[in-house]
Amino acid sequence: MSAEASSHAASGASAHPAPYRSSKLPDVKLLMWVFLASDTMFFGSLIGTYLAYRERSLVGPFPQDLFDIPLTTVSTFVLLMSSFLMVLSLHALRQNDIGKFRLWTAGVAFFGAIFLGFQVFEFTHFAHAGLSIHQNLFGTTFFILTGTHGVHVTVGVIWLVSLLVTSYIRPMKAKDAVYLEIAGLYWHFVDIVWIVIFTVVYLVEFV
Amino acid sequence: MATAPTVTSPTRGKIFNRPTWTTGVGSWLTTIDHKRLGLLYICTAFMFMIFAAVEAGLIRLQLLSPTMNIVNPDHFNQLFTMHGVTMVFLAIMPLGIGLANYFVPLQIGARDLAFPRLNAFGYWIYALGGLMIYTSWFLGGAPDVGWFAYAPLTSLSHNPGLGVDFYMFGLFISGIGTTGTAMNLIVTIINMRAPGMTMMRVPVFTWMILIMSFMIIYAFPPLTIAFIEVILDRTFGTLFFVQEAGALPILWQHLFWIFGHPEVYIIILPAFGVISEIIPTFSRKSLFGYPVMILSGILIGFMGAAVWTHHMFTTGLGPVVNTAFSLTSFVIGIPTGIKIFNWLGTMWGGSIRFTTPIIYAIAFLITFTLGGITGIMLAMPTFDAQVHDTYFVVAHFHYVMGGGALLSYLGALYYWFPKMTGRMMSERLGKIAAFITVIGFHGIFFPQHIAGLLGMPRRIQTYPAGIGLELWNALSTVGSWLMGIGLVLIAINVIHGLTRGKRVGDDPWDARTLEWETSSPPPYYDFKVQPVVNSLDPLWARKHPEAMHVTPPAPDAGAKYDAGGIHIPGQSWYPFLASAAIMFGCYALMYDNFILAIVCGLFFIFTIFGWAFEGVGGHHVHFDGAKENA
Amino acid sequence: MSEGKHTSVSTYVIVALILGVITYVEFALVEYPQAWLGSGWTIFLLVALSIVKFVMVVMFFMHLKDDDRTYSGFFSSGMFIALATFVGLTAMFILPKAVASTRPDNRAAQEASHAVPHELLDNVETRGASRAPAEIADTPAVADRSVSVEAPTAPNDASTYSVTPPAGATAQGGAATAEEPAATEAPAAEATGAQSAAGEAAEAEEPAAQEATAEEAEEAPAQAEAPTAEEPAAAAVSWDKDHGAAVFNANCMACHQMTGQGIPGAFPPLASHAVEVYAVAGGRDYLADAVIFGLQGAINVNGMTYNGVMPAWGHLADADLADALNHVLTAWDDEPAGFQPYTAADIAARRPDGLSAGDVHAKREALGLH
Repeated sequence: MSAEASSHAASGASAHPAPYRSSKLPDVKLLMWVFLASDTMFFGSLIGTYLAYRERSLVGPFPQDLFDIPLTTVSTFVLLMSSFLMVLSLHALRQNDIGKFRLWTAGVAFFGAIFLGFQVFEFTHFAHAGLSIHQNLFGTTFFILTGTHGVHVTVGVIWLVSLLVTSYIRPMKAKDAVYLEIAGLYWHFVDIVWIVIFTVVYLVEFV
Repeated sequence: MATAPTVTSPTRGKIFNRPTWTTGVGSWLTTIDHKRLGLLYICTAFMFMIFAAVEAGLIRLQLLSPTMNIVNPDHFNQLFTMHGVTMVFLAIMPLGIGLANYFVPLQIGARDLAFPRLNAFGYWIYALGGLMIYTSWFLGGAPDVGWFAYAPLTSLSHNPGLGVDFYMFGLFISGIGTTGTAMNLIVTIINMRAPGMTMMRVPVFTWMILIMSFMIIYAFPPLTIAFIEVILDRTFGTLFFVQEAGALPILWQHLFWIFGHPEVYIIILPAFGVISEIIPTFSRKSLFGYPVMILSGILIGFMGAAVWTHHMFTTGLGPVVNTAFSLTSFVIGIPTGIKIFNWLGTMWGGSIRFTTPIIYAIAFLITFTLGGITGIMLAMPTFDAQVHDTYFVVAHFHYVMGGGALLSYLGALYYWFPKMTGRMMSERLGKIAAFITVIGFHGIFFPQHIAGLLGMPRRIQTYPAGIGLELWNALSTVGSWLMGIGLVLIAINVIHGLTRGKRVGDDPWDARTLEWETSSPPPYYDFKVQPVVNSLDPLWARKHPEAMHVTPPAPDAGAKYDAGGIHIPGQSWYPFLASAAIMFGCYALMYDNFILAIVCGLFFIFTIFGWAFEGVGGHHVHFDGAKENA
Repeated sequence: MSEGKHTSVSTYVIVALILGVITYVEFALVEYPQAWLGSGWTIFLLVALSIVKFVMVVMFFMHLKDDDRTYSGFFSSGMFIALATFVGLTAMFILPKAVASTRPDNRAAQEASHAVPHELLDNVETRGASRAPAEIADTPAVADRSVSVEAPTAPNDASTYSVTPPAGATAQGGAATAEEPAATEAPAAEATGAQSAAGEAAEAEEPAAQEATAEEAEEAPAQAEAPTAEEPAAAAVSWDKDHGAAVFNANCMACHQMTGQGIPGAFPPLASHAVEVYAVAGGRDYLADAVIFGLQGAINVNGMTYNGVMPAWGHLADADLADALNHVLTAWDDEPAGFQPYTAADIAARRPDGLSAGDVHAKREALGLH
């Protein structure tokens, strides 16, 4: 998606002016916001399923047996900080500071990978404690909810790495910032979904 | 065309050379042209509609008289399931999307959708998903769980065959396509309107498509999740709907109807849009209350998300929930009623030409109003409890979906046929067919109200003699034959129109909106000069400036927007390949062949990267002879 | 595009700091619970804090604060619909459960029905301690979809029921097993009791029922702890006729019709047939199984074959199912000989079997019914 319009914009720079648009909003950014609006329903359904089945598991292990709040807090913090690096990266690209853009983008992808590492660790730990998608409703709903979120994070990491690699192949300039911006919007959205999951799934369990 | 366009098309050496066919199978597989994709959508939808009509015919034949056994109960279950699934997901809804594909860019003066390749992907994944469901007839039996596939009927223990897997996977992937196309349409309508076309100058059909697209993007994710949950249950042994583990099958009903009720409006809103185009055109009068029409559409969009549990009044949700959703269901009748009165207001005092499209529009008004009235009755939980799962409900939703959506789409077929083909269908045959179809329709479904009130349950394969159901079922079946004759006549008329139809000019109906300004059929670049708009109904304003109280812009006012040439995006293999990868991946998952599934997944990722790095490509069309590269 | 209105780096830093601090506060609220802050307020604070985080990321990192209103409109309309829909949905699942669990008697019935020792549902500490990881580790394989329900297994011996003495003899246990109506209508217990226990045992039963209703708060947990021991004796004679009819009309009538005649060829009749089944040895359990787990397969009633699916109704409360069954057995026919109304505990005792609809059909065949 990102590169689709980039060649478009490249052609617009030469003899071809960009085609007429009836709003000031870039197509790809509008598409991304529409997608995110739709994705709220997607994660809403998963979180709704989790909550509907909360405390309905017939056999253990139960959430309180497994959740490790300090660990999850750290991974939440890592994801939040990756969002912070994301805005720094976008800021740098808009200033045409390619070096910083590469540094921060690599940082975002790295932090995302750490978050995924935490998730893999957590899943393995839970599996050893006897939780699986077949064990009880908690296992089913928890793994599918956080797993789907994990898939979103993975897609985000791949996307950012692709952008990073692309920046070495064809030069990225401030005017290409919109392609980084939509990747960033996606990344921040994944982050705010985790903010909700952290509270609704993890923290509330211990109150 | 005065000047032949000069076309420049750079070839870029990539993994797949950018295809440039203009004819042949390859050109259709790789097309990104919204008109071609629109035609593909419309033809595919009509093909599925024929399948569904045959299924419906068999159902009616089986119910002709008591204790018949033309179709055995197992096949009967499969027939009514496939009829519902096909009509809702593969025929009526894609027909609306297909019409949107063809006519939204033309109505707003654009050259294509905002993301042409995403559009192609949407079509292919829908078509392949639909075909995938239909292969189930040959691979161990079609799904037999009803179109809403309630859990736990879909669980592996209750339904070990592959039918349910076909249902889940097929609709899952065609839903992805629908969602993508809806996002595409939103961006198109926001961003690609002609200069001067403010949101309050957008034709009502396009407005309704915009609202429909928003409903799709909010309604489809819950359904996708529900499908994923059942797929995981059946393929990987999760417990989402396994009662023995404490799961609540009613969750499926919630997720399904959170999608399912908006779906009703997703189907009917484009139909409203079509009617809002036909009635002003043939009444030679502006649409009465245009802003109110838009506003009521938006209201329907929002309210449509807040009525889902009226499908679940008998599941014991309790009086508070039932009352709340009963109230919202009543409220949603208000904007719908506003629309009905606006259409009547448009016809009132107009000089109406009774062509085939407006006959369908009038039939729509009557039929849809009847369906709406039974809808208000069903919004009462007390009444719903009595007739729930009876033929009364069947009659109600066929009046709304069949009488509402199908009749108006048949009207749209007659209305836009000259634009799509450059030829006219026979008006005489059209009118005869219209009367037979409409009478046949009421012949099928009106008696079902009575059968339902007498207590005939839905989805039964047969019924005993002597309980008062014979007459109504016989009438209904005879009606289905009549409607069948009507549909055959329409098909004959289409073939006749395609081969021998009278050639007509750009604007045979003396219509009002931009799509009639370009030639019939439109060239691949849609408009030679970018249209510029300064009022509602721009074509009408050009023909009758005094009636619209505006001075229309000069015909070449838009030339400056085409200074760099008209950009035509390049064709691409990737949308088709990506869809095929997803479809084969689903087959692999269904048959537990995980290696093939992973291979398909990797190939899908490859196509996405190919898609992204291939770029928009394409060429620019110039009418002044200058050559430019993209 | 929002060119020219870019947030400065210092703003980003401040936002990131605030986000970090909020995350720590959330962590601290949970890890070091404050006694003076009740759990209600803690949850409220946690939700409020996460909303603050959410809004800050959306406003500053996603730039909605300065960006075009169209984006905010699209995103917030999506958020609004999603929030309204799923808060509503979740409430529909959680609220009935919360209301039910505040009724002491119902809680006992519910826990017995889910066959989870009730202390597990009570608090965190016991729950954590009661499960050693090794005990849980035996995960069922993928192929084996059945879920092991660890629970006191109920007596599965049909003869227990067929020889049960007539109602009334075991009155004191009855009310303690706590049907829903008795709880919700505690003040009206006298009237309800008199009306519903219109059978021969009414006079004997009534005082005991009232007494038990008054004491049920204390008794209920004790009941749930050892449901097995009490069950055979716990035959409540009082059941709520109106409630039974209401449950039947809400859930069963659509197919079996109000008259219990069913639809010939589609839905089997219950009138005159259910009592026949009840009279067969083991029929009492079978009827309960059929409503809890459903029934699938060809059956023959009065010479007509029915090959359909009866859905499982296990999601209904025990007391609802019990009363519906009692309604079916008494509404259209004379009570079968030795009729002993179902109680919530009877239903609860059947649940651990975890049958499939096909199993129930096999059971029907085993009883000699076809």
